[in-house]
Amino acid sequence: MSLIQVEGLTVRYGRRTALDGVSFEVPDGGVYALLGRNGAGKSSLVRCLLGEQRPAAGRTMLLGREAWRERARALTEVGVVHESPDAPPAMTARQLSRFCAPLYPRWDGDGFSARLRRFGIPENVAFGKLSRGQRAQVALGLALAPEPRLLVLDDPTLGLDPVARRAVFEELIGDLADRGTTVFLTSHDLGGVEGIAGRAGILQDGRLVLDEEIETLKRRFRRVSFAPGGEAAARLAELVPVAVASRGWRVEAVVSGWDDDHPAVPPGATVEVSALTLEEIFLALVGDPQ
Amino acid sequence: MRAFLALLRREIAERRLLLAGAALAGLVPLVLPWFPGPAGLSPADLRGGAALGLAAVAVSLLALGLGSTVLAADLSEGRLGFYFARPLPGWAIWAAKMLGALLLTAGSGALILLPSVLAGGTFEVSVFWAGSALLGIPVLLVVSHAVSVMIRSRSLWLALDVGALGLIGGVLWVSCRVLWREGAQMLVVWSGFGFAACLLVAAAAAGLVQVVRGRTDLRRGHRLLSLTLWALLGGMTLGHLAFVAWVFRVAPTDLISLLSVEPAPAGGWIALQAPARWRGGYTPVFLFNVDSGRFLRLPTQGEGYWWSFPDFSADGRRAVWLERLESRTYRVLALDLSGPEAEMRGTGVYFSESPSSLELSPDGRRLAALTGNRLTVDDLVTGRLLYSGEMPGERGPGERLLFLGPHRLRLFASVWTDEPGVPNVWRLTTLDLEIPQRRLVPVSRIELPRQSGICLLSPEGRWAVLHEWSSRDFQLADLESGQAIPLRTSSDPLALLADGRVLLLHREGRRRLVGLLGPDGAETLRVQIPGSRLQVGGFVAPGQDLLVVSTTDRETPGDDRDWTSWLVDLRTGSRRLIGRGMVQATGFPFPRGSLPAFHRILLRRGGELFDADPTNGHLRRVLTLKSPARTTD
Amino acid sequence: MIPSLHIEPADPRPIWRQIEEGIQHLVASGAIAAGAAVPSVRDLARELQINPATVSKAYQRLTDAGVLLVKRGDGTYVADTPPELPREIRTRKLRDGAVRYAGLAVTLGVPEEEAVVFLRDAWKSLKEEGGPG
Repeated sequence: MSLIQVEGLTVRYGRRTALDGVSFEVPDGGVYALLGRNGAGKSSLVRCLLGEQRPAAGRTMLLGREAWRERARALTEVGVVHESPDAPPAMTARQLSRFCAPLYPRWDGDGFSARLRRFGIPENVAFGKLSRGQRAQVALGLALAPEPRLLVLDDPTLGLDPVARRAVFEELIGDLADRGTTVFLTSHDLGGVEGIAGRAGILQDGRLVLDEEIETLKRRFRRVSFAPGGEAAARLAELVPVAVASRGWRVEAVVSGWDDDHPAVPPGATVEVSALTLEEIFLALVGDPQ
Repeated sequence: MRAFLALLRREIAERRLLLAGAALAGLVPLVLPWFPGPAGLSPADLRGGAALGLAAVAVSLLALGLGSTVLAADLSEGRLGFYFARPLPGWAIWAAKMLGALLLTAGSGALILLPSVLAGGTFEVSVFWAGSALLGIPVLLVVSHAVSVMIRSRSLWLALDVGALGLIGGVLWVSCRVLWREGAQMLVVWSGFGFAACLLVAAAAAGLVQVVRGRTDLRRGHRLLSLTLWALLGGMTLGHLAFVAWVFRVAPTDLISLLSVEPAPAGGWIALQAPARWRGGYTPVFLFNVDSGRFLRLPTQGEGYWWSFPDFSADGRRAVWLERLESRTYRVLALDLSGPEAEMRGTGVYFSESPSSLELSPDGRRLAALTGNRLTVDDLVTGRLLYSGEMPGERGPGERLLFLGPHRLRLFASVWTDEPGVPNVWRLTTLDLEIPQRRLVPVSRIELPRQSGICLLSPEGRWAVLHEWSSRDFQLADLESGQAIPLRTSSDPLALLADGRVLLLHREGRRRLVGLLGPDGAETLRVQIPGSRLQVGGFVAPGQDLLVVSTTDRETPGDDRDWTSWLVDLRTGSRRLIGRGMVQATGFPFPRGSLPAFHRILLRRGGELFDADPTNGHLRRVLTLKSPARTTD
Repeated sequence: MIPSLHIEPADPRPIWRQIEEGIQHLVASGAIAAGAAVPSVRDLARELQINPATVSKAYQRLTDAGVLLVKRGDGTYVADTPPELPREIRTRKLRDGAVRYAGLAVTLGVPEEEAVVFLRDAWKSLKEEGGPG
């Protein structure tokens, strides 16, 4: 069963269309990363996903329940971390845990406290007085404590230094290892997300331009560098180029139709073929045209 | 439910410092009496007053402050997302925050009052104010939340809000003004409470809709809030307007008990005034035709107006009514009672203040009035002012205007001086105004070195009975000659007949008798009427031979069903029973000064009004009111 | 942790394959001794910042290939007699290395015979340092 189903989601603000007929699914046990530039519609999508906003058309289903209509019931099995954690600044971590516990069917208060201890986060300091990294850990802890079947994380590492970022991902991975939670996250940290996500979606101008396993994505994208003119240039179209740039006396193309078993352009002395990171693929697809 | 309780607990715990502060503030009134200050207040009074004042201020500020921030601040600063990302139902978020604010506000008020209550402070608070405060706190809370959302959203919907507020406020103001002017003040008070209750419901519902459907979107929330709020308040306003329209569509059958009834001297019309059912003390005045059942409600006369009934002409075909306009001006309305329907028209005559005396000529065409010191005579048919002049001398409550024919007006004034150091004098002056010549002719001036008293006038303005209070002496005065002769009687004069005879009321123990006294002091008649209290209704026209009275046996009569009415023949001394019930009673002989003559006898009993035939005593029911519970008279 | 096991994001091979081949290489080269413990799936995933399912898949394949051994309740260990590096992996690695070396020599303009001499010298020095031979 899919824990998240988005069907034909359309969101409009006045005359501007923020999301246009977006559809995708996140299966049980999957880790889905939604990528996109700022303003591509990620926040609107996350809000519709959590039942905070009503779409103009389409719907979002969380664990089989419609997010807008059955929000409270659906969220009993969902852990949420908002962009820039927003717990009430006056509450301490312990008060937050005590407040949230009766709302869910299960609550692992001991695990929550243990996690805080592990990171040296004091339980009796007001949320607003914690550092950014500490706040991110508390928010993640609050999301993990109800032992949810689904985690929705909206840019969980935004504004965190590398140490804090790594700590957040470690906690997430630990939870994945322990309980096989399904995860939906958005992020600008493509490098960090690359290893964890199994599937990626790329949102551009309100449309989902890509929805694919990362493994297959990396298998078919290559950067091909060659001299202009010549055999490589002639066969370029077969490879479905996505971005082509001239670098002095060479041409560099990011192609999306590479097949390792049947390379259209055999590598040699004059042709360089290299694989791409997720970030490089993303840039090629949605970056500014050069 | 668990979510709601968890949130409510949190809301209160977060602001527990407020309660601590309130507890501290509650100690201030306790220690206040120990500080030097103005004397004259007992410690208990000081504590009570200070605690109440402090509580009132604190509660108002808290209601405003908490109401405008518990939800709206979190919403506008993007902090509500935390709650909406948890399994918390939208209604629980709204309810817990609002209820939390309410408990904090009310609790703070209670904490401020508690020490003073325990220390024995005096708290004199009427139910009205206590009820208003209890209702006002939640109203303040939900309204300040609504206003806070409207302002924080910075959207154009605010213009709609302001416009709707102006419209609804204006409509309600006007309708309440109309109610107030027509004398239905209780309805305005009830309406005020009704508005407050509706506002509470409307603003609460609007806030709920805003949170449940607007969620974390401030602009959308504002739109939903405004639509809900103004739709509900608009409905309430329409309901109020419908109610006001219903109030004024009152008919005589809607009256619950008769306050007073007076038939015209002739014809089928009577004036009646009574409270109307379900209209909160609204007491309209009607012209009612006992033969045809047609009626006309007369417009407001304002407050403090002496004459509560129209002035009828002698033939009962015309009447005059003063309508109170906005700016304390009175408009004279002429009522035409000659046709099957009563018709009302303006005469073009206005008074800038309430006239102290008013008299309609017997043919109904002329109106004389004393307004302050100014005497005016108007022709109601043409609207012309026939005379206007300042009257010399002082004015007093015992004035009387009387038309002696179409061209002559008698002005009778009874004034007493009551200043220290000046010998007390009771002065009665009679002046005649020759209308066509616009000339004032002094007729007589009687000065009595007495304190003060009351006068009864004869119908044609020739004689007066003077009754001095302290000595309880009676004198019969001839107003044309200015001579006064003492009357030897220990009884109360009731009326003066045209020929100078005096109608007396004798009290012998619990017996009541009616008697006639001649100018020579000789009694010509005594008739006992069964009963221990007596009220006189008037003469049965024509002439002054038949008198209607009502008596009761009870010390404290409940209502008109405890009275019995009689017809007394002053020629023969015989009396005849009319029936159980009360006849139209003047009760208070002034300012008429003389008993009127009616051509029909109206008997009221319970919620029914009867027309009694003087010849055979046959009762015809002319009006049935909504039967009231027994009220005290 | 495991010495020199890196995940290269710009590597076209899937991550589980990189782990699988990496561990095989380490075992074959003796960097991890036979019978030694390897990190749990959870720990390795956290260390490398990758999905534990990916590590689990690699471990599963290695266990099936006989390189690793799972002792119930005790953890995962290198097999006492791990098989040799699969032939195709060995071949591919050698070929990749050879192509790189040959390309380097060509770019520097070194003739084939001289390049081979350098190769033999390198082999000799490694053997003297006491490699596995």
